[in-house]
Amino acid sequence: MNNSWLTFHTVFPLWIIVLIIVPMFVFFIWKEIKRSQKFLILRVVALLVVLISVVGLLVQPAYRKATSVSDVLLLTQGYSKSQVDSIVQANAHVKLLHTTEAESYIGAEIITSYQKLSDLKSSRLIVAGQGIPEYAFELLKSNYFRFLPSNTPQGVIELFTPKTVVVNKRHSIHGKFNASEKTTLKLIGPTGIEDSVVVQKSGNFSFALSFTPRQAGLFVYTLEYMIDNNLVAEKLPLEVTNEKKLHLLFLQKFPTAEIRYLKNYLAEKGHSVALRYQTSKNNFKLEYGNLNSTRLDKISSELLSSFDLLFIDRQVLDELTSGEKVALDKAIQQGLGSITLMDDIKKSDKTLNRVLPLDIKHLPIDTVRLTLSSSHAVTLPALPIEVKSTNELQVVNEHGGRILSGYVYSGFGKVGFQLLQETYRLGIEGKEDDYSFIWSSLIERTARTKNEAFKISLTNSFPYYPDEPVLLNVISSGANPSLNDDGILLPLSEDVVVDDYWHGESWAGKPGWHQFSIPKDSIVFNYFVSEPGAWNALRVANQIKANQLAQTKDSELTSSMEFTSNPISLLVFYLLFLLAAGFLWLAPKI
Amino acid sequence: MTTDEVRYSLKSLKLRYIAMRLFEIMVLGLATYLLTNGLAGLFAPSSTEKILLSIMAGVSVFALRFVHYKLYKLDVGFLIRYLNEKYPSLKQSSDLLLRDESELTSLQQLQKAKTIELFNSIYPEIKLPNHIKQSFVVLIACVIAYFGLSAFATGKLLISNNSGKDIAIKPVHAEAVAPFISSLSIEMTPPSYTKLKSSSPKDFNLEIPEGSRVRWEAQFSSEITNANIIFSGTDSSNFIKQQEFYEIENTFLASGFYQISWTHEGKNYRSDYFKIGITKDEPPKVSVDNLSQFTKLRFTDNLNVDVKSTLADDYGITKAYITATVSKGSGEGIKFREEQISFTTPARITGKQVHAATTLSLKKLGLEPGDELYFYIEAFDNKMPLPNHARTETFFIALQDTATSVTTEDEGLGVDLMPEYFRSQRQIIIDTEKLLKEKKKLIKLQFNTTSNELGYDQKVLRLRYGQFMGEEAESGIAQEAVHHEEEETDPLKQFSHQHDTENEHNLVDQKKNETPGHNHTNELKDANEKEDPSKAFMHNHDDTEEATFFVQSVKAKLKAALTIMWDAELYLRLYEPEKSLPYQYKVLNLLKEISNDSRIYVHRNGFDPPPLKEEKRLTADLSDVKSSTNRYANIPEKKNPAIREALLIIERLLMEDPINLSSANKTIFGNAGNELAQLAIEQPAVYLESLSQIKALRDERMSSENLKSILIELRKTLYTALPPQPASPRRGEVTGSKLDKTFIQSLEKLKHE
Repeated sequence: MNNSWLTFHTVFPLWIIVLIIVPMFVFFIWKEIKRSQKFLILRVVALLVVLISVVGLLVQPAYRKATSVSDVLLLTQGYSKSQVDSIVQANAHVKLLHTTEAESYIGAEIITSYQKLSDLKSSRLIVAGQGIPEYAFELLKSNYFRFLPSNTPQGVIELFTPKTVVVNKRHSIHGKFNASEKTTLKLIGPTGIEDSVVVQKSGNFSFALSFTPRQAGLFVYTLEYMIDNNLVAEKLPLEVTNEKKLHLLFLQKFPTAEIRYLKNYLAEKGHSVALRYQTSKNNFKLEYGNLNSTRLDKISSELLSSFDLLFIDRQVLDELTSGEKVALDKAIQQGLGSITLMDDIKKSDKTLNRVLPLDIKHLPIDTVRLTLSSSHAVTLPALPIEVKSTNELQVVNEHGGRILSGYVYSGFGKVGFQLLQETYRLGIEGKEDDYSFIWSSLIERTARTKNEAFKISLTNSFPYYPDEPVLLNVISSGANPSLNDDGILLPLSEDVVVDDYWHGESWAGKPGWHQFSIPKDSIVFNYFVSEPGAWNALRVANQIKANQLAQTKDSELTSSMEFTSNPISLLVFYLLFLLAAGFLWLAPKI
Repeated sequence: MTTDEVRYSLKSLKLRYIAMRLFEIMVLGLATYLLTNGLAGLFAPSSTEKILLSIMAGVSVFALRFVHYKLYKLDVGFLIRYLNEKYPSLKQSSDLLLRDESELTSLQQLQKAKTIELFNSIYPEIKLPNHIKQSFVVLIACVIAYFGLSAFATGKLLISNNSGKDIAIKPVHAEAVAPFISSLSIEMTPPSYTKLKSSSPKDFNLEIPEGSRVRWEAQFSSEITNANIIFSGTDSSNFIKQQEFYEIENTFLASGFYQISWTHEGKNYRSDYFKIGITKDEPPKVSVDNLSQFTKLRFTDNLNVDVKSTLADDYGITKAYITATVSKGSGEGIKFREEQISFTTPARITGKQVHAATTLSLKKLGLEPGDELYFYIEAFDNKMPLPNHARTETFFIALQDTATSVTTEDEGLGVDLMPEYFRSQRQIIIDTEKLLKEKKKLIKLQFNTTSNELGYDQKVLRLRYGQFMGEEAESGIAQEAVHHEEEETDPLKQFSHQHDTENEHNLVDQKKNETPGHNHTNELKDANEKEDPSKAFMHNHDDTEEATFFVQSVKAKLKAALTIMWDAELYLRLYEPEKSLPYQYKVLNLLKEISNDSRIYVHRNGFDPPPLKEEKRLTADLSDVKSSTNRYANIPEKKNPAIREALLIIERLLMEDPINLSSANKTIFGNAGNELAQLAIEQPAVYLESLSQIKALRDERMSSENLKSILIELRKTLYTALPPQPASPRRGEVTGSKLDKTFIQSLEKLKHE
């Protein structure tokens, strides 16, 4: 339809119009013919005109018109003069515009607002320099967009901060630095320099800076470096969150030092821990750390649903009654994490394979030498098994290609394993960091995740500036979100295609911390608005990337002719209708 | 106008004049006051003196002028004279105005009436003499001069501030009428041995030598009820009130901080915190300059070794010497002799840095090839009451022995070739019994000789045991050699020697090697040490009385054995071996007991399993085994909650511009300060400044630019105060949208297909 020269914008569906108009036309023709008057032919023609004009009014036709388009070259900050010179030489008719920040160019007009871009409807837009900000894209009406990027600015041009920063945990900030000379990147926390890296050569340089926060809350770290002998100190916002406590259940046939130590370690950290092991056929030893005593003699789905992670050894797993097995399977399907404790894995172990399908091979080596968070290597016993990497398997810890711990998804839950043995030795030796490193990530990733009703995320990337839009998405678990931006209700629209996916747009306020919140579910999302001019290199680099992505693909490039569909003015039909109807009215009187 | 009215006008004129003059001289007085005040500011030290002086000057000028204008006895006549003089139109007749009509002649009356008329006409224009304008000019000049001078004076005051005399310490609670410390002088007296002069530090943060005495003298701006000084780690001590000031003295041996607190009208005011830093009296530094730690010499080398040493101390060295130890012999027979050698140059060691030297004559020290000399230098400083001392590493000088003979024992021989120095008690008994048995066969002389020889053996044995007790050998054992050869002839002796079991003759053997000379030195030492009364309370290993291997009970037994040995010997010497025999048995018994006593028994250590109940064994009865439950709560307490809260507040405040400190914030800072104070007791250097900063924050004693830098500083300290902890697992979060659920469900379905 788009390629035909005539298009319709019908008021009613076309078939209704046809259904009504055609019988009417037949009826009126028949009436005119029946009327014994003069000018029959003329009257029929007039009637035809009336009908056409009525149809015209209803279907509102438009015709396609080919127009030649003009080229517009928009100069933004940092454009290359020689590039512009050559464009101007090649295309003398190009219209030159420049933004307020950009240097002026002979014959270039200034545009004070990006709003002006919406006027460049039927022109091909070429942007040179650092590009136009992302929010200006929606103003672009032109369907041809080309971008001639300027050089990447010096400084931090890429920055990835951890999504959640947890207290007492080591995190790192990654990024890329575009350097022209030797400089030192310093991450400055509340106590002073947390980490630093020396950028030796010029060019793009990937860096990672690590830090360990000691207190939860909203903190502003500083990233400091020198550029052209000027000290640049950028404010790096970090939201440090507290550790959320887990509920863990240990089921053992007999006590082991490994689990005893792990249980004590977790209970000391404030997690809720329940432990059961058998002392004789009908007797159990029960321990509850930070938890009220509950019955642990029978494994029911209610019991399991109150825990986030289950440690279960092979013997207990074997001895579960069929009812308990069903309950366990169901609980795992619903999200419970489970770590199976093993002394050995046999290939044809059906009980194990049912919960933990691993592709294994026996190895002659039963130790592993690891370099963990501390610099020195430790040797630990490990099950002499090689677990092959499969699509299902999520690896948590591996060393030299040998998988040491991991988990497999099972419904919403996960079933994990740990091949390392006697890890408590690390703890006893005082290497608590190493011990924590081995277990924390496995427990963290295997345990049941808390179901939040909503999740807020920002679409556009850091940094955010005052009076510039902040785009956000909300994923809901069913309910409709009611989002506040610093206490003010912000309207959201649900995605047209995807259910429970909402979009919103806010305009950043003054520099500092701001908050999106869903008060009903006490969900809070903090974001930081940088001062204008801060993180300039990062902003420009992001903008250049966005502009490059927004370029019209080569396949979509059109010729210099542009076709527009011009609607035929409804006045024409009206006048035709008047004339024809007037004739029909006058004809009997002549 | 009547005469009365005129008189009234004149009176009011007079009053006006007085008022004008008073005003004028008051202005002048004020000017003088200001001028004097300004001038006095350059010289007079205290403000009260200054004010007094200025008031005196002002009042005296006022009084002088007052007297000059005779304002105290002014009458209307003065006015009349002035009018006559000033207004010729009155024609010198104004005095008529005061006269009564009755007193006047008719002409005078006429003139009076005329004058009244005239007076009436000029009355509004009468200008009374005054210098108000001039005095104002003077006042303005004086005001300018005052400000100029007081500007100088404040400059002067600042200088005196620096001298630490006139600093006003404002209380931390800023209130309009709060009393403050108008002056605080500190006098620091270092301990006398340092020979440092006492001084008045300019800074309230003190850096003083260890053991210094510090005296604070505080003057307060107004009367206060109680003042005390709070030292870190200890209680506060009260200032002692003298006539005009408060004073306190204290001696400091350790670093800390102090704060002055005072009470006024029931309110308590506190100053800032000030540091007390202690400069420790360092122990002397001793080094040997010219020798390496190990020196090997040959006997042919120069055996005079020069020792050059540098001794240094921060306040002075009083004593230094070389302690040399000569070691002789090798293996188990090694012997040591210790000697103190003083330096030859300089003769007396004194001063902060001394280059001392001496020559060690190895020959004089008695070194022979194979012997070694160990020495170190020890130096003492003048610290009171206990001097610091330091010593060098031990230096070794070895005299090489080129002819060392090595004794080897041939294991294959199997015969104990140890020389038989003396017989055991059992042997003596056997020999005595044998002698008695053979009595009849032997001639008397032979019997007597054998008995005598046995008596000699008994003596030797006694002497041996006597040596354990530290008894002196009276005649030595040298004679034994002579008798020895004789005894060799007796074949039985060799035989009985092999039965020797009980006696620790090895120990005795070692003792025998000891030279009598060594004992002699010990005695000499004893004689020297008798002068020292403190030795009585020491455990002295060189005391011969104490130098035994035995405990007291064993010693008593040994003494008894020795006494009985005397008897046994006596009867052997008297050729009555049968009488001697019971004593010998007694000795043998005692010696056996002694050897048993000196053994040490060690109790066997290990796990003692409880005895098994045979009736319960293997019955498979588990009725007593029960399920047990153990519950514990171990929520780790967040340490330093207020510091954590304060940190978050600081972060928030740092984002604000301008920074607003609310009272709630101040309370939290206060709490954080309390928590920090506990840490500051242990590490005042780290946390003290932050404590002061918190105080300053609470009292808002800073500009807004200052505030930001202080908050950043404070944040650093507070954050450092939080202890690092290992990470623990964290529960993750997820938002399960419908799409996720459908996805997982489809995945599961696929898995099971």
